[in-house]
Amino acid sequence: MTGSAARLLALVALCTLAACGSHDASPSQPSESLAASAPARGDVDRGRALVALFQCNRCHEGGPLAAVPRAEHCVSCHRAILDGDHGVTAGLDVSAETWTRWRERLVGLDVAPSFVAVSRLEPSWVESFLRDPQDVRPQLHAMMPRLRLDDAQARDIAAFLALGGDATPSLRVTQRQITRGRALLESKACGGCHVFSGVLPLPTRPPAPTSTSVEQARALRLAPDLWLTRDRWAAGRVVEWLMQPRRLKPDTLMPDTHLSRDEATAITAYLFLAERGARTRPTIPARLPLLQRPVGFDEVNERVFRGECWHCHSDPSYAGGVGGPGNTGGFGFKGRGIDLSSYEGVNSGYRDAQGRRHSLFERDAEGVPRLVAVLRARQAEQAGQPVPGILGMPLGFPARSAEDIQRVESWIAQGRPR
Amino acid sequence: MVLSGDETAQTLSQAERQLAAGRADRAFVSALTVFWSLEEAVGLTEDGYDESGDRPSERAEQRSNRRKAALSARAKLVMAVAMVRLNGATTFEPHHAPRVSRLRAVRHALLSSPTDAERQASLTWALTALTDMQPADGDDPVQMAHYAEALARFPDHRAQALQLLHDLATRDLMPDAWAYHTLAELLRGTDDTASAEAAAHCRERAGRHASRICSESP
Repeated sequence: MTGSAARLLALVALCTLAACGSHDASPSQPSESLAASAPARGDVDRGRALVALFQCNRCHEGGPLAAVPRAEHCVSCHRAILDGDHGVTAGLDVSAETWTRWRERLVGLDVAPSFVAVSRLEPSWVESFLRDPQDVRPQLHAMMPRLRLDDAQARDIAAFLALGGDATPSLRVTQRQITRGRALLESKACGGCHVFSGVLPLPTRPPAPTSTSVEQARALRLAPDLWLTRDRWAAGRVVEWLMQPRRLKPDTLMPDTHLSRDEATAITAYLFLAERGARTRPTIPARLPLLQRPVGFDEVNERVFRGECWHCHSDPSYAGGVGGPGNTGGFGFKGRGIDLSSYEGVNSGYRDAQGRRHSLFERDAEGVPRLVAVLRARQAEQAGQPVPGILGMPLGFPARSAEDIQRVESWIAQGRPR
Repeated sequence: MVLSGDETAQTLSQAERQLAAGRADRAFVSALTVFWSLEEAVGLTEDGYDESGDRPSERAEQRSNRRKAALSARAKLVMAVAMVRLNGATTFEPHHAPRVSRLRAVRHALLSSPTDAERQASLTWALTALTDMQPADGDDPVQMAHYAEALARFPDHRAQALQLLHDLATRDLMPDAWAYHTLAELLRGTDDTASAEAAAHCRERAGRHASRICSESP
């Protein structure tokens, strides 16, 4: 049984509203108890070491994380490009022309949730999220990558991230509050940023402008799917959060909508107790037949490798000996020596765990080349069907389309022409 | 003749593209320009200045030096491979040219009618450079293929070249059409079927550059 299911079962203890301390309470209204926060179970010191090993600070920042130079921080570097900050100040050595070209190509990863007040999240959810990352923020291009960590490691990291978090008591809410909570979500225009999967869609009226448009756009991308709230948070903490987001997390882009405690409690009641359907996941697209027209490396490179692949599988000589996690190692991965930045690199294979090189085009039992298998594995991961033993690529980014994979397969079938 | 850091990388990329497209002459000149530019550069522009803003921090300087060394090695690699593909028709040991005459020397880097001694000197320089670049674990298919190409120019080393390329081909790790072209050449006369097969792979891999890369040597 999952933690959230157990919590939901446990909270169905009814009582009279007189004890609930809300103005919505009345003797005729039954109430439900939403569980208190649960303590972390892992080893904090091991968790600290693992956070360093997995280099969480290359995407996230703040909180318990050590800072890294901007040139080594994915999000800061991307943000510098998008904000028009020249390369020299970002720690890179590029011309204005290159900078402009990058800017035109850059799709996302200019924002990631910071680790400031990360202890507000429930350790049990952090654990499960690390083991099986879900798309928390539907409007953010990137998502948490699937790392090679086991249950104990996930538990230890969760314990480290929970460090300093306060315990939150249980919360009693009523059916009337659930109804009121839905109305408040609509009147406060929460649907302007958030989606809530599995319930009647929230109206999408845009939120009132509270800051610069760039900040608003980033806030929008960081807005989580409210479907996950009851798993990610303890209810009592959500109330505090809704009342004063910046008091709990000073760097949040979530606007303060000046909710009273009653209002915040009502919204929390809806978030935790609304009947919700399952979150829909993308289906695995059908494999397309091989193309009959010629497909050259330039096309495959432009459409596929130069997307996200290059960032983690690059030529080390372009970046001071660092070829990215998928080449020289990082994010907890050993260096596999994969260079997808050139034709020769793509054809030079990868190192296995024993250090022996293999072709990226070796075929599995079904005759699928390894490169195609990892691209398809990512589609399967997004459909909630991770493939045992294969890490889907691109790691932490949306799967490539069926058409892109068709291009790669066709190029391989045609003898991998330059 | 000092290029900015970004220009250096772009010129080097261009040299690599020229080399891959079978334009070894152009590639050699581009790479030579980069190589000398890096020799003369004090350091590439980087961020990470110390608090006074006067000089780069130690970390930034280290990063800059690493990058410079890596780019320099790539330029040298292009020069060496181009020398091999031009069958030694280049000046050798280009980094020993006097600084004042480098610009002129670039224009004269390619030899239209080299003597046997000049060819031999260039090819020996290239083989030495490529030998030095071999990773200790022999793990880099690109480097191995280039090394084999250079070995194949020396009758005494052709068997070793064949062994290296055969191993790469068996493991489907041939990095490019050139490697198949060299393999086809090495097999010609001793195993014509395998040679034809390697030549077919060369044409497949070379795509539109097949006529420049995969034609039989005279």
